[in-house]
Amino acid sequence: MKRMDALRAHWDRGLALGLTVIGVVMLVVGYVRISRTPYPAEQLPLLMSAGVGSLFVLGLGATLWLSADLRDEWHKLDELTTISEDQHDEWPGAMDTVVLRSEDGAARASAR
Amino acid sequence: MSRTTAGVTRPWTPGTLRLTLAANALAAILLFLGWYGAAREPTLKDGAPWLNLSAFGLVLAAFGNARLLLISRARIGLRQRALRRARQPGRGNRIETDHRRVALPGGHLYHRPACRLVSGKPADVLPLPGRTGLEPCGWCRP
Repeated sequence: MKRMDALRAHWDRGLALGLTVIGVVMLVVGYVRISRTPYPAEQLPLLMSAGVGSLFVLGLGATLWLSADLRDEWHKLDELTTISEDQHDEWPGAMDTVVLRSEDGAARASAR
Repeated sequence: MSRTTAGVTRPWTPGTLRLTLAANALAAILLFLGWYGAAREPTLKDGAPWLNLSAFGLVLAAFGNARLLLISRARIGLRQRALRRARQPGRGNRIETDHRRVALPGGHLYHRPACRLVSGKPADVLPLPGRTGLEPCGWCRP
């Protein structure tokens, strides 16, 4: 159950890992198949499907992983903003007021 | 930073996401077309244009992905700066209307009246803070 929850929360990281594995497998399979044929015209489609295709899949995986990191950072900023606003609500004026003493000795409060 | 912005659950805008998805979908189509076209050509020379097509698709996908990440990064940076400013009163996050400068009796620094370091304490108003020999506070930077 915990594993399912973690997978649901980090679906983009799971997908990124899956795409990375697929990309690496495509590269290896492409390399093996290209090395087995001596004809360049036969190698070209393999180069495009396995080489360029794997680059595309790996790029997609990397983007998903990095976007998951950025999303986490965004949520952390949400938390910090809430904490900051709550702190300001808890001490209204405590940090905004200073007791000013003018030269004639009269004291008065000054609010921001 | 307002709660409205904080309520947005993703660092990227919907438009950015749409463009990224469109770029990747188009790239996938171009890659497939390139592969399909090259597989039907008998010589390497005839297959070269198809390779160019798929390379263009790859560049398109890279552009869409990089754009998404850079825009997200920039929006996070903006929020970080706004949050930092909001947590430091007296550091210029609002237009200053009180131009007085204050100092604590016996202190060697002068401050803005809103500075946290003098909040709630009895402070003297300084008529000419620059000529008192006091140094500006490093926190509120008067």
